Amino acid sequence: MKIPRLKNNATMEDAALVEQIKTGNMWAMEALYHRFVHKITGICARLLRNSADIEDVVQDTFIEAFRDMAQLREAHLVERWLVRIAVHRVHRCFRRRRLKRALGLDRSFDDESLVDQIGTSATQEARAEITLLDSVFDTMTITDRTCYVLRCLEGYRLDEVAQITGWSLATVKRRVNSARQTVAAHFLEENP
Amino acid sequence: MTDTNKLDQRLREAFANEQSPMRVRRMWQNIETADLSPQKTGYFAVCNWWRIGVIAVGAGALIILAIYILRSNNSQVESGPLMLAEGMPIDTVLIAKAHTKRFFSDGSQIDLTAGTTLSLSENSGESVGFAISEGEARFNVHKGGPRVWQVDCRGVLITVVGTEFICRAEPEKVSVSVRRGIVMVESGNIAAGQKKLVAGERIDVAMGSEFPNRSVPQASDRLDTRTVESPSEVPARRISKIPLSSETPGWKVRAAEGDFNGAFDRLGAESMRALAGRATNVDELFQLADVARLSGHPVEAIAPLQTIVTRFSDNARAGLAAYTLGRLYLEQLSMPVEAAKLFDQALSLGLPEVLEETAMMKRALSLMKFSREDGTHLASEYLTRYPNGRYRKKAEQIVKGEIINDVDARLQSR
Repeated sequence: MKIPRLKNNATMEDAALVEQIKTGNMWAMEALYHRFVHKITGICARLLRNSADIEDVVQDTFIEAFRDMAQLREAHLVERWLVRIAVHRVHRCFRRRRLKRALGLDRSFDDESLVDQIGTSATQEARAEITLLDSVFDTMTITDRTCYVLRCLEGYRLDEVAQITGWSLATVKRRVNSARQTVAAHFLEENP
Repeated sequence: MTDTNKLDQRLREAFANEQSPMRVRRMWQNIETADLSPQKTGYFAVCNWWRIGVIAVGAGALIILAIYILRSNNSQVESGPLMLAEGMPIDTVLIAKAHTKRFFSDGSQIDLTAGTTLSLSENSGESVGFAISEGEARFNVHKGGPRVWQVDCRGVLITVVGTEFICRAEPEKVSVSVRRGIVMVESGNIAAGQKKLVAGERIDVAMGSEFPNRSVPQASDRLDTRTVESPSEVPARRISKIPLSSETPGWKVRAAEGDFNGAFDRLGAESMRALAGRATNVDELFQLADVARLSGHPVEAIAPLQTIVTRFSDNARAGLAAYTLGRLYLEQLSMPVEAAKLFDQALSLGLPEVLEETAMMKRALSLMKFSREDGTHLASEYLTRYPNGRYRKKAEQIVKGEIINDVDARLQSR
């Protein structure tokens, strides 16, 4: 059975769901989950590119969100709050990977590259560009990659990226520009 | 648009925006089995006694002030007959054709399932009385009075002052279960003529004689595996056939767009039951159940899920339907006996491994409400099957007698 993606409609609906979740309503939790799971998973997938890590982070994001829902003051901003939790958990995952790598214990590999995340209707040119972006991401720092994904691929404004990541607006601007320059340089090399 | 922006747009549009249904469902199954109760974090996780003392004193002062204000408000407000919240008089007789809510001027609320008949028998400044002849009603009576509420459910009299309880009238029995507060249930069919129920307790009063609590269906192989008759089937028989077209495409379109509220509005509660009765495949029934659940009408999901369990028991997902129904009975309807039967049925029909463990534990907790012996037996079964399972600690507490009922279990899990 195809699980339809819930449209993120009026913020009032989000706020109503949040209020229900605060009372412990499991059905509201599931509704919120279905509403945002595609977006959260997409962001995590662009950043992590490892299926086990992606699912762990998405699950942990929603679990943390449901546990801490009482702390959410602006219920209509629940989407941004979820993305913020997810991004922080992604960074935590990267720190764990770095530590494991330093100890020689990291056996993971990217089994869900950006190419695996392409839509079925994507053109060959789009596939080629995504393949290139995959290799560009390998050279990018996680902070630049985060800013690039949120700003350029997910379409968040700079101030929203700053709120999500907890970095200053100036830092976000700098990192977005740095990421864009890296991407542009690689694409220019490929397309003289 | 600059080249950079064009590149961003191309890249953005290239990605798939939907995850596979299997992945979405798998992740949800892991999420729902986790402990989702609020965790102590940050400031309050630090044991700092003087801060706790200051906060406690401040909170105490606020509580005293609030009580004083509430008491002085109550003395001035709400004399005379109870009215609806809008200021209108209460319906003398209300036959709910769909799920209906009534809000009252004292802050109380009644939720009626479709097919419930509720009549007003008394209404003064000191007391208000209702009678239920059929159906199910959830009463949320405002704490602090000032009126005494009495509900007559086919001869079973329930007296409350500031509480939340559910009263269901069935042909063979009347069920009363308490969510909050204390109620007094009186009936000639109860030993000693009356029984006090506190939060988490329930009584079934048979129209002939009281259902003895211990005659509840026994654990595992002793559980009665006959199909549970859904209470929603009772009103459905009384509803005249609604002439539907062979398909109601509008709701499917809305559901496919993710507008479950709109899909449910198109269907309506009665159409939901009629479609469930006529559905020919499991996919459509799950879709109907999802529309009901995700639009905030979980009770309406009973009919389609029950249909899967009874008519499509050979289907690979029948177990999942039984599990979902069991959760609905336990968490939404406070019907632990029926929930236990359904969890048992789900285990027999087959569940994914991650849900199998949870179903065993929920079955044990369901029966703990009625029979400590049966709940303990099931908890032991769980420990045998999952000696290092996720719920090992809770199951051990049940077996040792440290958890008497599921209220204790919830309190101890915090």
